[in-house]
Amino acid sequence: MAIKFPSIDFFRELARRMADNAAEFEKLGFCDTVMGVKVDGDSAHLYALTFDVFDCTDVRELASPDDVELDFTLEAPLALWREMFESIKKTGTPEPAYTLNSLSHVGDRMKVVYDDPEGHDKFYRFMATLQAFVDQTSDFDIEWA
Amino acid sequence: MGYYARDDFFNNPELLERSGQILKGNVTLDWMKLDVESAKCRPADNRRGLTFDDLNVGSYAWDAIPEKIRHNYSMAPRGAVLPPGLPHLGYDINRKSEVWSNNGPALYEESKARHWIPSREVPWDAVEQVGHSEEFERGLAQLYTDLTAMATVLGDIPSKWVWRINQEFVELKMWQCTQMFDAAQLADVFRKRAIAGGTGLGRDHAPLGELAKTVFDSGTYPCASASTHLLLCGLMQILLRHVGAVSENAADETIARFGMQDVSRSLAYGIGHMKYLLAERPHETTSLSGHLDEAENATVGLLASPIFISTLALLTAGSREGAASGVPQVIALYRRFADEHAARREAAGIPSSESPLEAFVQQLEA
Repeated sequence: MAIKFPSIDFFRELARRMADNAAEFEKLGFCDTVMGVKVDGDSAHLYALTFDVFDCTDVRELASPDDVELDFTLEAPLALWREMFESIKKTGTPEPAYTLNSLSHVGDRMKVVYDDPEGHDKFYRFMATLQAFVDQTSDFDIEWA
Repeated sequence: MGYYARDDFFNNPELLERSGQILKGNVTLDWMKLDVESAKCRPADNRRGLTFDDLNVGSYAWDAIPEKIRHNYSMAPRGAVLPPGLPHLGYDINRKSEVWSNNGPALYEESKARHWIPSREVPWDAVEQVGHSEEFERGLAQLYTDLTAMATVLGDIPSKWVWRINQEFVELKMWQCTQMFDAAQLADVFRKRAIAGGTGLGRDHAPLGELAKTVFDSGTYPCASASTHLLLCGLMQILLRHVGAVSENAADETIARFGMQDVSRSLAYGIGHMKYLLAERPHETTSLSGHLDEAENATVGLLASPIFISTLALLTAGSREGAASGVPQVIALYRRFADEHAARREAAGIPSSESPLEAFVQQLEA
């Protein structure tokens, strides 16, 4: 069944799979951060994903970034998110140019927005978990908004 | 021999007589009469197990550590009964604010939980066919050589200070032990990667040594903490992000991803340490700021050195011929580093209006 992106169901399914793949995420270690995902397009969507220990315990769509205290937010246009997920779909992991690190590195294809540098550094502190989290979409049948 | 015990134990007939009596079955259990707090600690979250946070209770808590330790200079664990006659271990860092960060105990637990094993988890077979030119590999090997030196210093700093820090700060000292182990693994993996790529290690150079010496020779632990955790770890983090972005090799991507995690924990400690210190001793701001400016000056020496900037330009452009075209992106990289470093200084409470790093990047941009 196709899952729409962007949607709350998309991220809830990722959270559910994270719980199912407990061994993989336990090996990667504790991950404690609240991450924002912003999808820019005709109508922008902002989601807050709460990671606690080995799980993604809360997923919600925000009306405003002030609704939740976010450590950092990854912002990109829908087209770039689509390229990233399609790259992951090819082999299960993204091509080098489409890792979260590469996309957010100098060049700003994907922006990392933050207020507090400690929150910003959590993106890099938990990078392996966050990459593995999005890599779980490799067998998603995605319906693009 | 640096220390002679206060007694000639082997020739003490009273001691030998007492131990002889015990061996004959006249067991004395006076030591069981203790006046210590009984605490029942359980994991607040079973997924984490029993953590230092769970032991932050009553008289065992780090919250109860006074700002200045005046009662215990022995190796006794905090909370144990301290009988008279315990030897002084010579700890001379006895102020909590000199070393403490409230996130230290949790970072220690996180460091153990996120431990990785480079010798097995890096896909080393990917290095057999690197998928890029020999010149690019030579550039990577040069950067890994520099990173090896930086990681070695990263391990030397806590080891230089940890034995001087009072045992009452046990959680902090355990955290420093994980820092040393993480640094050892980083130096290990950077060295292995440079050599395994086939071109061998690169060249050491004085500007890198100057930065390392500036950090290593910091006169106090707070100064060492500021220049190591805020500046050196920030530089290593962004270099690893760059390696992960420019190399298409899976081994490099793995090393970058896990390496940036390790140094980012130290960044979190550094900010937390400075905040705690300056809340207790705000007058330290001036000396810390001056020291960081000095360390930034040494960093400028590295960033401006031909070997360092041309290595980054080659890696960014992807080839030796195109290296010049990579320079604007290297400047953008430096801009990002300067901005992130300034934000961390601000968050830590030691902003600078005369930052050599900022002035240098502005000059490059001009």
